[in-house]
Amino acid sequence: MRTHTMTTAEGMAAGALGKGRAARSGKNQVPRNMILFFAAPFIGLTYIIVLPLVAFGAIGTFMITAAFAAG
Amino acid sequence: MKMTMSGSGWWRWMVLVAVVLSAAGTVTAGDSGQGLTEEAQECFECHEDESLEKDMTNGETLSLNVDGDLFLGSAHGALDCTSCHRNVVLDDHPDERAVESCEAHRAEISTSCRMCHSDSRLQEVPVHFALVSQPDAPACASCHAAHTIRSIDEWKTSLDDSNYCLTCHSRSIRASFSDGVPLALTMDVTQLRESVHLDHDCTDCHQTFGKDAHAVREFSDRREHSLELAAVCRECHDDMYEQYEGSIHFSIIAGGNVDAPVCTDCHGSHFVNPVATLETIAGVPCRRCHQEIFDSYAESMHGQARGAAGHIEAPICADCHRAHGVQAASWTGKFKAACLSCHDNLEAVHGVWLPNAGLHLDVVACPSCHAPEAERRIDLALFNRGDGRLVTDEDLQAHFGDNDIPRAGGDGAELSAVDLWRYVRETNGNGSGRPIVLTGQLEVKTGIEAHRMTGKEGAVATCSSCHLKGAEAFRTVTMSLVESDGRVRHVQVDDKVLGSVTSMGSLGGFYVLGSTRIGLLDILLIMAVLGGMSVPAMHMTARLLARQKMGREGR
Amino acid sequence: MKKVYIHPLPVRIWHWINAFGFVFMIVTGLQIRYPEIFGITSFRQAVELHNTAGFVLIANYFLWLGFYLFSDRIKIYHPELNPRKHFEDSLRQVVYYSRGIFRGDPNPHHSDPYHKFNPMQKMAYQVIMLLVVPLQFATGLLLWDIKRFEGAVALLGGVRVVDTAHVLCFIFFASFLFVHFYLATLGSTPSEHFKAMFTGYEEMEEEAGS
Repeated sequence: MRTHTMTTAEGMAAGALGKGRAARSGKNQVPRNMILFFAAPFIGLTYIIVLPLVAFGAIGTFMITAAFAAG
Repeated sequence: MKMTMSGSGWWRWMVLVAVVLSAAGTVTAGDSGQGLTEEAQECFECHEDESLEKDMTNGETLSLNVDGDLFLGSAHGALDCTSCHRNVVLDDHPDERAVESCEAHRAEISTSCRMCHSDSRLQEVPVHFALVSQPDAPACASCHAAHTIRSIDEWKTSLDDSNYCLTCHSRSIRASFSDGVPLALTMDVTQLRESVHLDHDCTDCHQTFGKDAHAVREFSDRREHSLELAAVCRECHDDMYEQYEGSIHFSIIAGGNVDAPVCTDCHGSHFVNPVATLETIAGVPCRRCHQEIFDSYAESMHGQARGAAGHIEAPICADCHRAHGVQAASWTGKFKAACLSCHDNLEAVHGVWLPNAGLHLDVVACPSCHAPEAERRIDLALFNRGDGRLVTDEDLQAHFGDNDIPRAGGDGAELSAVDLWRYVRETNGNGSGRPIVLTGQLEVKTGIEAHRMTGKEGAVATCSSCHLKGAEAFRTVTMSLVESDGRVRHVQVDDKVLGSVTSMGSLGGFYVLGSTRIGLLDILLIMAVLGGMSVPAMHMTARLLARQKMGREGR
Repeated sequence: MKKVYIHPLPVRIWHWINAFGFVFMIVTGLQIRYPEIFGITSFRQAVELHNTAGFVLIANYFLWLGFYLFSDRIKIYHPELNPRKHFEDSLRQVVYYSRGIFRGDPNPHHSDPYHKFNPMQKMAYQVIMLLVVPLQFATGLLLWDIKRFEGAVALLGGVRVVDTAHVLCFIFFASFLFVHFYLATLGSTPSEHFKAMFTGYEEMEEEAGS
């Protein structure tokens, strides 16, 4: 796996989420920040619950791919 | 002038002279000598002497004086003396006959009464006949004055109701019950006149008796007599009686056990004292049946304050239990109102040193801390938050039928956590909301101990007496079931329900820090801490080993 | 190595009050729950200390919350809204901790003031700070004066339920304490992250060409 390096500047830019970050910068982000902040634990909890399934899915995919490559 | 016992004959001549003189009208016996028989007049010549006496063998002295006027005015005024004094032979009078006692004399004379007042005549007044027919009935002359007997009509008219009754009932008369036990019918008037009923006539209570009627009653035993007479109290004391009808004492009698008290058992019958005497340590009637509880109370701070120190504001039995409407010893949760009626502001007073004081006051019965020597237990009860009542035995029967409700608990069967959960679930039914919950109280095991309350100096103030796993109070668990008369039956519950994870749904409202902790959580804690320690430890070990390996490989 | 200012002062203050506070709560909590095992203080003293420290920690929490709500550093808690990216980064992090770290690989996550947490940490702290800690405080508050809050307690199923929730959170924190402490030693040196939480500056690898 390639390591991913990030400069601080890139990190700051990437901190504002994905699309439309240029458009959002300059507007009052406090309400949006708060909403995302309070939504975070529920999204995080969902990720925590789903992560093991994704991990096993990934492992399973590797195993199947490897099996096909070998066989 | 005292008569000598000589047998000289000159005496007989004196009598003859007296008879001749009286016939000439110069000797009379009193003012109305007319109407007396000749014989009577003759007798009165001597017997009008006030100093005339005879010595009895037992040392008593019998007055031989008779008031002629009174005798003439009596019902027997037209009779000869010897009609009654049948053993007097005028030719040989006085004789030397010895008489044992005044009473013996009266008994002997009274046999004469029956010459005219025969059984068939006496039976016209059945109660009187019943009295005189008793083997040891008093002699007629003991009740009916010998020489001043009045006619019944005249006598009745001259007396008020009570004094009429007392003519017999002040004497030593008695009847007996069917079981042979005697019933004294003697009435001590002075005590009646010192009671609160002093202004009442006998017939105010004994309503079926009086001058016009006096049936011969028969009772199977003393208790039947007491129960019937106590019903009379209702005539005037209807409000108290109504309270009494709601009491456990009334329920017990209605259930067939007649030993529970009625009015007269506590208040007395003829000697009803003021209420204040019933509220003293010495006079409180409750102790007659509840002696053990009373002894416990007497040692308590309330009893000491009331008794030794004389503080009448300290409570005695009726202050907490109510005198007439006394309820069955019941679910502890209801009792606190009695304590709070004097001890207000309890939450603030305890809150000075006790965390969650309000909760403690809700859940812990006062004697649990204030009777420190008492044995304690946890008592659970199905409580309907909707109507504020305990769920009764009948309610449970409606849901379960007889088989599922533990009976008496004496056979060792204990309720389990699953049983409790079923009770809560079934009694709540399918309705929305769950008004019925299992509440818990920390209380003392017996009523006797509950009364031995101390002041705050002696009270439990150590948290660990309860907040400790294995504390004594949590080793005994019962469930209260209310019966139809208000009495509470305690059924044994397995003490493990307190710390069982299956009690979450049923015992959600009862929890004591440290003592009733759920054991499963302790296991989880150990696993979590061990895991939390061991995973990092293993990871760290693996890193160290990897670093050593890389060091050896020159990386 | 360069130093990057990662931990603002309010966060550092909050962190150490919280750290010692939680340890204190665990110790007094153990004394309350296991009085027959521990004899550190009396039961009543433990309750009173636990209550006092609890209120301090609740106030401390609002210090943390107040700071972040009005700071743009709030972004460190924002969720990654792209699930694919999130799972890729998360699994990368897992592989690092389970394999890469033993082979001397560099950490795939590089912190900056707006991305302090790696994906695993972020999920954990989102749930801890905004669900578990508030739950612990709320249940603790209810238990502090059950009579005052008896309506809420009854609504939740009773004291037993509230206390069980409080104990479950306690079990989590007791376990987490060891994990958190260990993970804090995984800096460039074992004490690096500890020093950073005092000074505010984390030591980072210099980027090639930056």
